[in-house]
Amino acid sequence: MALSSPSKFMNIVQRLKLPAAFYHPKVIDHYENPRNVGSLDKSDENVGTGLVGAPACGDVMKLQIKVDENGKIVDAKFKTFGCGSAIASSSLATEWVKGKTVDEALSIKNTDIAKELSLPPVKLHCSMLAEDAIKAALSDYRIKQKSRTKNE
Amino acid sequence: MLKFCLKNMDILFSQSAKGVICQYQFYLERRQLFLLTKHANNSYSSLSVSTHGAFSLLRFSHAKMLKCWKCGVEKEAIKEVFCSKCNFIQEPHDTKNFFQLFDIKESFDIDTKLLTNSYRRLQNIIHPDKFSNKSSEEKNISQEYSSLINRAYNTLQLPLNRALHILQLKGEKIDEDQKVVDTEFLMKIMEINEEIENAENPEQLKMLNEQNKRVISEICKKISICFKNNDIEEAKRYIVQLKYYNSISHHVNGILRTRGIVD
Repeated sequence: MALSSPSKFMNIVQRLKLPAAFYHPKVIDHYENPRNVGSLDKSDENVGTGLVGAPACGDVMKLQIKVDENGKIVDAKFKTFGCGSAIASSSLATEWVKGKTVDEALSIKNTDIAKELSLPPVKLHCSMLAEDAIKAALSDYRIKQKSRTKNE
Repeated sequence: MLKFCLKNMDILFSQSAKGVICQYQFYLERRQLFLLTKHANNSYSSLSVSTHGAFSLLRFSHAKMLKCWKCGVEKEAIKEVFCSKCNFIQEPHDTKNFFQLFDIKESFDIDTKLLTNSYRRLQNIIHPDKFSNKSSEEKNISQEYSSLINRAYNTLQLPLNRALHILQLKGEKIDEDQKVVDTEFLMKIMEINEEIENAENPEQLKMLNEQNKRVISEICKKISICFKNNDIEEAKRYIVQLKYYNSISHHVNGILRTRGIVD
């Protein structure tokens, strides 16, 4: 169909501008102002580190938690190299685990993250990656704790 | 093997739900056996028969007409772009296998010059610009053909996409939920990304980019060997690695671009 009138042309231009709107405002917020970016001391006994990757897109995600003597997560940091959804998912994950106990943090599901960020189906694997990162960090922490009690 | 094929025909065509078959014949092309079938409604279909004698329904394509759609003359070669009799443009002979489309050897190590030449030669004769005064059928075929070879060219040109295309042709793919358990590898990727992020001067970025390019070409060599030995699992492992280094390349090039640094 030919572009017979300027309004039709504008219509298409406006449609072309849309891509930003494919992301939910919450994703954009986390992407532009990510919470808890950074690293914790990996060798600290109270720090658990989770490092996961998504082979389908080449994203890599690091999530670290710091646990106090009562088993409560007092700090969390992340670093993600990947798409906006992966960054937003891990940013949200660090927010959510903070203040939770280790057991409570285990119950965070990727579906909760996807729901909160309104991720489209093609980006669901980003939230799965975040869940895996939490699990990996928690298991790293537990392994460290076990070996400590053994040594004592 | 032929006997086996014939035995399985009934099962196959009850699945294809294409009605009564009038004629069928086998033909060999590129050391691969094809079954050509003429259906009751005068349409043709062709499908590849694997060496095990099993039919691969994936390659079942009704678009693969062996007769010219315009004048009805049987084509001399399936790869004809234009009918030898009436000179009308024909539909692409293969829409699934991009190597076949360009008539180049199906291999990970392709001669990119040959590919580019074949691409330009095809685009030169089938580009929609050449059909502005032709009928709408010809225009449509030309548009579809042209966009198909654009897509095919972009796929075959880049090593990662080419490797993924070969996997696809073999009926394999990299699963999205396939986990990377090699933490050492992930750590390395993380460190390189951090290094890129913290790089202060353009020289450092360029150096990291060069280093990354070298790693990518090393991995490509390994992928090539895997494909030669038909070691698909190992090839997949390296393709996943290639994905990570490719995203590193995107990362570093993105920074170079935003800082306005060009080679």
